[in-house]
Amino acid sequence: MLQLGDSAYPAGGFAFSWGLEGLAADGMLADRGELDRIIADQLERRWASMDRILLRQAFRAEDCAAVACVDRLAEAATPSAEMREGSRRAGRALLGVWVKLDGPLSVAYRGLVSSDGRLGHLAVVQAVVGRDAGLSQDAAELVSGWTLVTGLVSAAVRLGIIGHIEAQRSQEIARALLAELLAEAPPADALPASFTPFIDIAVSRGPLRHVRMFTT
Amino acid sequence: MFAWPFALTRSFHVDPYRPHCLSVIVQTASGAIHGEDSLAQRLLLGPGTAVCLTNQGATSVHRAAPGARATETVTLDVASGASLEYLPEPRILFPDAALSQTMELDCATDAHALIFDAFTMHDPLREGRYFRELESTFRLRKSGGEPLLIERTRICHPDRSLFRGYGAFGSAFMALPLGHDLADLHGALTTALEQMRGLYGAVSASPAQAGLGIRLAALELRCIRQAFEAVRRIYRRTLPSSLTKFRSEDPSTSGWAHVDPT
Repeated sequence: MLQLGDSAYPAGGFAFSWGLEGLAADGMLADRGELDRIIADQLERRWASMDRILLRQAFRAEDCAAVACVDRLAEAATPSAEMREGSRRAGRALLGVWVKLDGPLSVAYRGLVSSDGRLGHLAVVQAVVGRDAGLSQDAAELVSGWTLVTGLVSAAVRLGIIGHIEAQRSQEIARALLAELLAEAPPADALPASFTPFIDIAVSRGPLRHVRMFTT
Repeated sequence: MFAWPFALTRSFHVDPYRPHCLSVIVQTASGAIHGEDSLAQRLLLGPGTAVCLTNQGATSVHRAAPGARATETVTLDVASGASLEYLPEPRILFPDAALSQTMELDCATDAHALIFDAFTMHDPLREGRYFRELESTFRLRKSGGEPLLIERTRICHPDRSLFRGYGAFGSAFMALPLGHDLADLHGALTTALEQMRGLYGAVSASPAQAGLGIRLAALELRCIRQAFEAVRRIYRRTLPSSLTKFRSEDPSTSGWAHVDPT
């Protein structure tokens, strides 16, 4: 779990700001207070209600075909092309590392991902590599939520929105929220849903910006 | 065919950009959605039909008792070569309102469709109270296949910080046949939206090249309406002449539609 949750894990997580860069460019993110609110929105209104649901479905999937079914749902349930592209890029990078580490499910699933451009979404791949790493479902969810938090905070530091000490404070707040969310299991029949309009719009407006540091 | 609270009367010439065409206005006797309402509409468009469907005005959604919520289901089937503009006015969510709405759109692969969906909040006593729950699902299929797009929004017990001072939210979706220049349309829509003040929005290509989605947040509801007008004008540029040049006095050239609100 520590290995997968390590910011040095070579899956290219540093390339994604998940809307922070766009919100900052559009004047909607300028300080730590706003950052904390956006991280809370990401966790509560998107990760917990959508990514986590997809991850849990993929974690319980019987075989690669069933995992692919969840992956296609992730594709259909992500209206923004830029968000879909970002999710697939992040997922495929993560999968690629675990394929090189000879994870059997990862190797098998990569075969399907290579032949279908809709597959490879991050939440689904997090379930696949979590299973290969021998994690429990709870642990895989924790890694998923925590890597989102560290990725967002790290992006905010590189964008110059906060400094390193403030980053620790933001992580502390987000960690408490994540623990709160993880303490409550979603219903077994929960369907993926979200409401993060500002983040969705900021990510979708990415191609309008001439200079960008991040993919999303 | 229709049943209470819906009513269909004669159609109206209310479209300023196509004054020769009729608009079908689905009216409701209640004029609002109440706590335990269960509403359903089904619209079937025949081949080659061009229909613009709207309702009588913005719809208030009133409080629901704890544990209750209103439901609304809209099923839209658009046959080969047809065009549907489903343009309901925005919802006005009152404090403690709870609404679950589902829209199912099944388009033939060569059909066109434009769908609007928007909501705003109203707190008549200015007590800082918001609606209790909004769940909204939009599902698109092409010719009955597996869903290409599933947009599901769920908001429970929102607080003020969630909306960041914005007063209205909306989305529009254009289902288009393959072959349209999506990049060109994307550019036209983006240019139009960027010119509007009080609006934060973006256009994005939908999965499986099924069309374009537009997501909007606005300081005021009128900005959403303004954006929808621009989107509608651009959508109509995509339609073939067979769907735009018919004469209103000859129904055989404008196909048929069957509206079934129950």
